[in-house]
Amino acid sequence: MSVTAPSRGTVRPSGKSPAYRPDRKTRSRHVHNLVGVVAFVVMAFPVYWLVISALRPNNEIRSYDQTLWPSSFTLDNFQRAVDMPNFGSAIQSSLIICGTSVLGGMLLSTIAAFAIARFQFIGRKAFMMILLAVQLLPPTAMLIPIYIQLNELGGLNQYWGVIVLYLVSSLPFATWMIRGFVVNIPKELEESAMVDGCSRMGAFWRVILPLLAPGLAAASIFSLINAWNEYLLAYIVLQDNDKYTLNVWLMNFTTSRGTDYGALMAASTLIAIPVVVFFMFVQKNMASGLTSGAVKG
Amino acid sequence: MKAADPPVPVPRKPGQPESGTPASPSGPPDSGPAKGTRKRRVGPLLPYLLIAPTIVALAAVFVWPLIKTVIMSFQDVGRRELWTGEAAPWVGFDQFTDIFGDGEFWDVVWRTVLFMTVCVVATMGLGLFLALSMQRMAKGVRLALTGALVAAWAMPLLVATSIFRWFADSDYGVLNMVLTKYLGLDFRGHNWWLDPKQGFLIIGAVVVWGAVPFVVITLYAALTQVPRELEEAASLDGASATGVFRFVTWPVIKPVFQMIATLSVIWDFNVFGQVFLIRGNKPEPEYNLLGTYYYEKAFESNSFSQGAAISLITVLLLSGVAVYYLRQLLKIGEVE
Amino acid sequence: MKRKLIAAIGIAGMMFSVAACGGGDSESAKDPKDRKGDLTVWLMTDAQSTWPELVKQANTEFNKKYPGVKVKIQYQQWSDKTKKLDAALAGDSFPDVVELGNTETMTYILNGALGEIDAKKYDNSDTWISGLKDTCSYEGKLYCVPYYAGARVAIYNKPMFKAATGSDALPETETALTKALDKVQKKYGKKDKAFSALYLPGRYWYAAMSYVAAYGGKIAEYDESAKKWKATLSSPEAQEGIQHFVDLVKKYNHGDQTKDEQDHANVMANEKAGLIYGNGWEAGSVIDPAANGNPKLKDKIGTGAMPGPNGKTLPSFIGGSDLATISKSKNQDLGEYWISLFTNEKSEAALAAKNILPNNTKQLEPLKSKPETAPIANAVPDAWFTPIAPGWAAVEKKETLELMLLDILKGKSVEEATKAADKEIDGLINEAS
Repeated sequence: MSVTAPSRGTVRPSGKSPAYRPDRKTRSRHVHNLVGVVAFVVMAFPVYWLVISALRPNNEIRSYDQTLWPSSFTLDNFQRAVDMPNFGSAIQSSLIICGTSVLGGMLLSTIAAFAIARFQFIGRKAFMMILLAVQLLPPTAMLIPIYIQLNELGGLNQYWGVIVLYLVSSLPFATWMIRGFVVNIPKELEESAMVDGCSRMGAFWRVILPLLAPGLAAASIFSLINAWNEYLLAYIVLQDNDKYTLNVWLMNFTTSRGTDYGALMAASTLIAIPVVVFFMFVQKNMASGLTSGAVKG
Repeated sequence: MKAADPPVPVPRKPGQPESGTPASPSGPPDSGPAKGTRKRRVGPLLPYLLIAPTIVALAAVFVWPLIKTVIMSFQDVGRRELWTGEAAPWVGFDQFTDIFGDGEFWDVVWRTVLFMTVCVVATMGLGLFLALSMQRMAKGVRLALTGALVAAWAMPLLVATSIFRWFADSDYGVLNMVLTKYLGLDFRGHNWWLDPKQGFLIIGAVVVWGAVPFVVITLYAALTQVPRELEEAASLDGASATGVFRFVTWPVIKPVFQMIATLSVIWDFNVFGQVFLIRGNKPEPEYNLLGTYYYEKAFESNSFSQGAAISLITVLLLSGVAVYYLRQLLKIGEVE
Repeated sequence: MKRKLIAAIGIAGMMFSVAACGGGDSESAKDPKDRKGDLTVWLMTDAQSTWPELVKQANTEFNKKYPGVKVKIQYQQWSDKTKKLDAALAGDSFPDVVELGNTETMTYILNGALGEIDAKKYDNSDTWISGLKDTCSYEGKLYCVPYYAGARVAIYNKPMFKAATGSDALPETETALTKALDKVQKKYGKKDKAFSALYLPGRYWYAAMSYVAAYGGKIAEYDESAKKWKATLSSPEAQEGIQHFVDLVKKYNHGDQTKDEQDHANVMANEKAGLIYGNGWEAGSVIDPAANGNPKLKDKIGTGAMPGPNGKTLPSFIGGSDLATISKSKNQDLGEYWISLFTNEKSEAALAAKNILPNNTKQLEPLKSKPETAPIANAVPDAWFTPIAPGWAAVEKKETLELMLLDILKGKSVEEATKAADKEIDGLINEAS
C-alpha cells in the first residue's frame, strides 16, 4: 500500500485515465450508467411521490386511476399544513431539541472518544463494551422504564428530558466514529502544538478539532436524523401542545375521522427540507468521515 | 477526501491489516506514528474525567430502567401495578417459561431471524453492488444517485411507510396498476397482504430501501480509498475482475463492511415501525416480528412483565452478534 | 424497645402521609376563589379541529368559579394516545381529566385508573344514551361521563341511484334495496369492473355484528350462574347474521373484499361505490377536500337508515367518547366540575348543531326530525354495543372478529370459523386487561 502512496485525493474514480483497455472501459461505463439510472429511479420514486402528492389535489392522492403526473397542481395542501395550529412552536421545539442534543452529543462523544483513543486506562475496554451493548437494547421495549426514570429525574414535559434521551441514543455511535478520527491524528501534531506553548486543551482546540471536522460532520448527521425524525419518545415525554416537535405535530393530520394525506405530505416535504439541506452541506465530509472512523474501529 | 482537506501527514490507509495478521497485498506496517507511544499514562484521572459525562448520561438514562426491566421480568406487572404502585407478585422464571413454551414465540423468532437475514443480505448486497458501480459511473449520474439516496434517507419513517402502503394497495396502488397496465399481468385488485410471503416482500422493500443509502454512501467512501494503481496492476497481471475484487478491493473495505453489516443486523432485528405502520397499527399474527410481538404482549395484553422478558431474550439473542461485533472492535482497539 | 419505637414512628408517619393524601378533601373544602394550580385536560384532536369554541366556552365558565385555576388543554392523537396515557399514569405527570373512546374505558376502570363520578352533578344524566353510559359503569358504580355518540347509517350517491332506479331516495326494505343495488351495479359496473354498488369491506366487523344483532344474535353473553362471559357467535342466530353479511360482501363488493372500513370515504369520493354503511360524519368526509374528499360530489351524497334483514332497520353499533377523571388526581372535584360544564345541555346542543349526536336522548329527540340527522338519531334506540366484559379490549386488540371474517372470505365455513372465534374469545373475555 505504500507503493507510490498517492494522496487520497488523486485516487478518486474520475475516469480520467482511459489510456488502457479503452473498449472494455466505455462499454462497462455504459452498463454502470444504466445501473445508476435504474438505482436513481428506484431510490427517488418514493421521494418523487411524496412531493407530487403534496402538490396534487387531495382527492387524487388515493385515486383509482393513478397517474404519474398530476392533472393539476395546487398549494392548498401546503396552506392547510402551515395553518395547522402550533406549526411555529413545533419548528422552535425541533430546532431547540435537535440543535442542543446534536451539539451536546458531539461534545460528549468527542471528549470520550479522545479519552479512549489517546489513553490506556483501566476500564477502557469495559467502557467500549458498554457503548456497544447499549445499542442492543430494543427501543420500544425500554419505553415505560425510561419514562419512569425520566419522571424521577423531573424531565417530563421538559425540553431537556427529550434532549437527554436523544443525546444518549446517539452517543455510542458518535463516540465510536469520532474515536476513529482521533486515532488517525498523529499525536506529534498535538505535541508540537504543546511545545509551542499551548495547553493540552489549547492543542485540542487548535490542532485536533479542525482535523476531526469530517468525523464530527458524519456523526452529527446521524444524530440529527435520529432526533429530527423521532416521534414516540417526544410524544410521550412532552405534554404541552406548544412543546411538541415537528414529527409529533405531524400526527395532528390524523384524527378519528381519517388522515388529511395531502396536508401530511406537504408538511413532511417542508419538514424534510432542513435535513436534506444540512445533509447536502456535510455529505462530502461525511462520506470520508464514516470510512475513516469505521476502519479504525 | 479531497486533496484540499487539512493536511494529515502520512495518513494511515484504511484496511491496513492489523499487525500480527498475515498481510494481504500491502506493504509493511506504515511508517505512521509508532504504536506503543500512542497511549501514554498521564495524570491517571484525566481519561476518567473525559469519559465521565458520557458515563453519567448513559447511566442516568439506562441503568435503572435496565435493572427495572430485569426485575419486572421476574414479577407479574400489569397496568394496575404500574399505575397504583401496588406490589407486583414475584413469579420466578414463570414469564420466561411461559414465553419459551409458547409456540407462537418460536414462530416469531424464526420469522424475525429469517426476515432479518434476508433484509441484511439484500441491503448489504445491493449496497456493495451500487457502491462498486458508482465508482464507474459518469459524474452526473453519480451525483443524481447520491442526491436520491440522501433524500430517501431523510424521509420520516411514517411518511415513507404511508407511501409504500399506497403503492401496494389492492384497489388504487401504483404497483398493481403498473403490473396490470404495462406488464399485462392480471393484478387488478390483488391484495399483497393476504399471503405473508408477499406482504413481507413489501415490508422488506421498505426496510431495504430505507437502509441502502447509509450502506452505499459509506461503502462508496471506503472504495474511493482503494489504490487504483493496485487494481490496475492486478488486472494487467491477468487477474479477473473477481480476482481483483477479492484480493485488492475486498481487504480494504472489509472492516467497514463488517461494521455496517453488524449494525444492520441489530437494526433489522428490532424492526417495529415499518411492520406496525404498514399494517395500519394492527399487524396480523402472521406479521408479528419480535418488535411487534413485544409490543403486543406489553401494551395490548397488559403484561409488562412478559414484555420485559421478551426484550431481555431479544438482547440475549442479539448478543451473539454483539460478541462478534465486540471482538472486531476490541481486536482493532488492542493494536491502537 | 427501640424497634417498637421505630415501628410506632413509622406508623405515625404512615398515618400522617395518609392524611396528606386525603388532602384533596381539605383542598376541595377551600373557597373556590382560593383554589390555585392547574387542571390538565386531555382531549382528542377532534375537539381542536371541529369544536374549539366549545372548549373555550367551558374554560371561561370554569374560571368564573375558579379564577385561580388554570385549565391546560392538551390535545392528544388517536394513534398513540393510550400508550402515552399508560406511561403517564405510571408517573407523576398525569392529566386530571381524560377523554376515552367508549371501547377503551373498561381497561382503565378495571385497573383503578379512573375516579368515581357522581351522576347527579351532570345535566341530563337520567337520559344518557345507554350505549355510552354502560361503558362507564362497573359493578354499580360510575366512572366516566358520556361526551358524544356516533351511529352508522347508509351513505349513498343520489345521482347514481336516480339514474339506475329512477328515484334518488334510499329504499326502505332490504329486498327493495338489493333490487336497486342490482340495477346500480348493472348500470355502473359494466364499464368499470372495480365498481361496487354496495361497498361493504369483508373485515368490517362492526357491520357484520350489526347483521348478527339483526337476527337476534350476540357476540357474548353473561352466564349468571357461572359468573362468566361466554361467546355465542356460533349460535344459529349469529351464524345466520354473519352468513348474511358475507353474502352481501361477496355479491356487491367488487374491490378488494379483504380490507377493513378505512377506505370508505375514499371509495365514495372516487365514485367507485353507490352505497356504503358508515359513520354518519363520513358523508361529510366524502366531499371535504381537507379529508381527501371530492368537492364535486357536493349535494350528491345522501344518508338514510340502512335497511336490514326481516324488514327492519339494521341495528347500528353505537360509538362515542367519554370523559373521566383520574383517580390519582388531587383535583378530581375540579375535573368533575369542568366535565359538567363541557357536557352540559348548552354544550351538547352546540355539538348537536354540528350534527354530532349528543350524550342524552332528550336532546336527541329534535335531531330525529331534522333531515340531515334523522338517520343517525333514529339509529340510537336500537343500537347494539360490544360486551361490557373485563377482557373485551383484549378480544378487539387480538382482532378475533376481523380475522374470523377473513377466514370465512378465504373459504372457511361459517360454522367452523365462528366456533374457532368463540373458543378464542372465551379464553380472553373473562380476564381483566
